[in-house]
Amino acid sequence: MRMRRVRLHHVVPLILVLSVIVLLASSARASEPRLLVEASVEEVLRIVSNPDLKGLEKAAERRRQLRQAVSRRFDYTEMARRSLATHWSRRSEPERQEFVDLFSKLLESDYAYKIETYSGEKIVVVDQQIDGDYAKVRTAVRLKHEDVAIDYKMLKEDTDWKVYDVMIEGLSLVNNFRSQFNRIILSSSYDELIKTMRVRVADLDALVSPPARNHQGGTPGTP
Amino acid sequence: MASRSTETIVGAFVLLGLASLAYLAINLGNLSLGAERYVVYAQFESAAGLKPGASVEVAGVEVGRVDEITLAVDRARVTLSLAKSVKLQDDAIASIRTKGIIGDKYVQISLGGSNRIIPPGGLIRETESPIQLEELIRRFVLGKV
Repeated sequence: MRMRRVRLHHVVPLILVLSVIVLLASSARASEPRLLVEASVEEVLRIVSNPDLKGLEKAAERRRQLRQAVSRRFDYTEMARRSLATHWSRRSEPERQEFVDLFSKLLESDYAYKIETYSGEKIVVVDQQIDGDYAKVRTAVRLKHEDVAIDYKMLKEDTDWKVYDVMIEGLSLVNNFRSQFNRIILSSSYDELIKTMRVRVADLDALVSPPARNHQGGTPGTP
Repeated sequence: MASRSTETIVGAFVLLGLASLAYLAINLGNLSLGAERYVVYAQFESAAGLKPGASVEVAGVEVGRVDEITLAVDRARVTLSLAKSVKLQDDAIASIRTKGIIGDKYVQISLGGSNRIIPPGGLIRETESPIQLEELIRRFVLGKV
């Protein structure tokens, strides 16, 4: 009996230490996918609703900040690789870099253009599913009558999680790009795809930026 | 002697009949014999309208069939049996699509560019659930949001 009581005495501090470790571990889960998405969404909304960044003359600065916020959470190389799919392996390293660069500009311009129309809708993180190095964070944009489901598919990179695909209402952004890129490459050529993407980026830029800045991302060979 | 050869002929016809029956059974039942096929799994949030036996296509070419559709907790787990010659990269995307506007549902796979191949018994991680026509109509009728 005495022996047992002594042991129990030793066990109590151990339990305390363990619970402290568990507490620390749970607070160190700051890099959990859903929290990362939440933080990014908040940051983007802060930029978009910032009164100091409203108006046409502030467009470039707003754009720069949006770009920064989004690129921190998105893995453009992975998205570009998945979108180009079977054609990726046929491209040389410099071509791949050029493609990733153009692809990220296209995504950012598209995203920035869409987010400009934001008018205070509520965005909530619904849940997250983690499976090894893969995770899916489900979010919902609350509109007047119903929700639009936007799911972020993430990949673990070291201790960080980066988005590699976005599912809007169950449809994959990567798959959408993949079929379009594939169609353009098969019906004409890879060079034609690059040209089309350049034109699209310039068009989207023109919609957001004031006219003077239209051609800063500009392209030789735009028809 | 004569009866012996009659017996042989009858026997041969019976065997021929059995072989034809087996051939019919295999063909009509969509059974696949031999090792030219392998199985992969895919999980969808919904497999509404998809039926076992539905075709699996890559670039519009049939490369396999849907074997089985079961419930895995709250998602649909679809078993696909594919031709051995088809290699799926781990970033391949499986989507449930409709043939025509109101046709049968089938599984369309868009090939990826990864170096990692999904092994037999593996899981297609990237999937798209079917678009519900009724859902779209509902949205249209209730007004664009």
